[in-house]
Amino acid sequence: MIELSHIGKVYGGAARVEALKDISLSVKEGEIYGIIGQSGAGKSTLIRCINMLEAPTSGTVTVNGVELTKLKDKELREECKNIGMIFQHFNLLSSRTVYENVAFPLELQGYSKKEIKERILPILDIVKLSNRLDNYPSQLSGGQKQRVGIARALATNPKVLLCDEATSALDPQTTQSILDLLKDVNKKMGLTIVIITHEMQVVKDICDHVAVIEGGKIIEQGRVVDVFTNPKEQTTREFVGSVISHDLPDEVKAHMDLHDAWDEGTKPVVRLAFMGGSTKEPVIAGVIRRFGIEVTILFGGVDFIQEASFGHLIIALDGEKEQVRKALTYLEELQIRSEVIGYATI
Amino acid sequence: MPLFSEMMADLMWTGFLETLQMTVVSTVIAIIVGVPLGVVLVVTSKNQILENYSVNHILGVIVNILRSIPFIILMVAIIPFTRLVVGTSIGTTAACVPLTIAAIPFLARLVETSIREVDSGVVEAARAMGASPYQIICKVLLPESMPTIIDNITVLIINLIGYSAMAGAVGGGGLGDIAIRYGYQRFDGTIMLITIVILVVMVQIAQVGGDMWSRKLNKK
Ligand SMILES: Nc1ncnc2c1ncn2[C@@H]1O[C@H](COP(=O)(O)OP(=O)(O)O)[C@@H](O)[C@H]1O
Ligand SMILES: [Mg+2]
Repeated sequence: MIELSHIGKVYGGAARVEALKDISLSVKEGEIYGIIGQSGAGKSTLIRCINMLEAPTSGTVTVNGVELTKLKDKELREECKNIGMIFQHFNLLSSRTVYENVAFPLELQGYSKKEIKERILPILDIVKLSNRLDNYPSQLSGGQKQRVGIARALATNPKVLLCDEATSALDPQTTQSILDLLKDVNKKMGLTIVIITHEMQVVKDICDHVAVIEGGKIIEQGRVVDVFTNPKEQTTREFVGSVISHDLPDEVKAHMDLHDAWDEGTKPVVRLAFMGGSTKEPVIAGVIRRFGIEVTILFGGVDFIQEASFGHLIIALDGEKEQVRKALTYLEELQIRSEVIGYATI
Repeated sequence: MPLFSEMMADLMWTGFLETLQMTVVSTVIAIIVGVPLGVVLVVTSKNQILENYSVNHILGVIVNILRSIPFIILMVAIIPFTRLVVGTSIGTTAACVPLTIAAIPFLARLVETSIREVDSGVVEAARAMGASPYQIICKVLLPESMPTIIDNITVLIINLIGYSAMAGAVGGGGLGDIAIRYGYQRFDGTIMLITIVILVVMVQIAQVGGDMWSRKLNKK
């Protein structure tokens, strides 16, 4: 549905900023794709390239089979009508009521008053604003304003919805309700959604795929479950860590004295990460039984990424060195991710 | 002799109508020309929807030149032009020409500032919806800045009432003319006072009316 190929963006002027460097990504139809990164990473620039609010300096943008990067202004404006967008600060017209704001994109396309009414009343119903039609944006809460933004973006029945930090100005509870709404329209209307955010919680809650962007480059991308269970880059780990704690808590770490080498008298400390299905096997019991070693559970927890459960356990293995080694090999062969994070005396 | 004869009342009434005429004519023309000029000054500037360096620069320079000439000098300096336009350089109609010439760039700059205050995010949202530059101007920039543009027009009207008095002093008629001729040259304190009162009331009406209208449009 969306195909970005080798996108580069350089902001000119005295202070030359290379905001995007060789970005390629592809978003499938009906998918919710998250792009996460710290402030200044280039997220907004990237999403603005998707609907050509910002023309990339190099590379091509293809949306819904049309290569936007080679269109003329007028043709581009036509294509833009198939791409909805919502914003962090809502960007509603303050001089128009809720109804008039949602009617705005249809008005631009020259629909009649009657057609506009027929199309937008059901949408205003979906976003639960049917009782606020005559209010002005200044009379609404942040969450309600974003609902107007969403209704306005959906009014033209677009194929793609772009969200630039759509929940960053909202409190956690309102964020949740907006995310639920986005998920809902994604399912019901088969809408492809691209979400820009700096909050991993948003990715965890509704995204199927995620790309991590840093310094204008994509440093990691993949299915959300994979990235969460096995983050490769440090930045990704930090993002994942902000919602799921992968590491030992500092309190535990403090009296453990982790070493990098397996010295005499130390025990391997292993992190196990397992997805819903794989937990059926009695992993810990199996290790104890097969290798006759002791297993100490140091820390553990279960998280949910959307519907999938995802657990992690940090254990220390103690016993005859050869048997411990075998146990480690055994763990590696299982359908769970295991990783020795150090050696401790405990 | 009565303090304020019927003849005097007639004189004041005529003066009032002349001031009103000068103000209204120059305000209307200034709105017709100045508001679009203000819009053009914004949309042709850097990073705007119709960025155009030459147009922006040339208009900017013209506006600045006109704005920097003191009105009293402008009035005299453009006498040939005034003759060309209305056939004469004295009288109320003739005074409308320099008033309008001064009013256009004045309003254009005020409108420019008002339009710049429109949240750039809203323009961006409209662009994302595929709005053409013309639609952005008519459906976003102007409606969103309308309350402040009304305020700008109020300021303009009040300034024009003042300037028209100045125009009156050099043959333009109106209340300014009366105040100078009777109040100043003949030391008639009553006439002076009455002219002042009428001018103050005119300004008040413009201010209160403008405020009310602007507040009614402002939904922020
Ligand atoms: N219009 C612009 N002109 C110059 N530099 C810009 C412009 N917009 C963004 N940048 C720069 O590009 C980089 C990425 O910005 P942005 O995409 O807004 O990041 P993010 O949305 O991830 O916070 C930043 O260094 C920013 O300063
Ligand atoms: Mg941003």
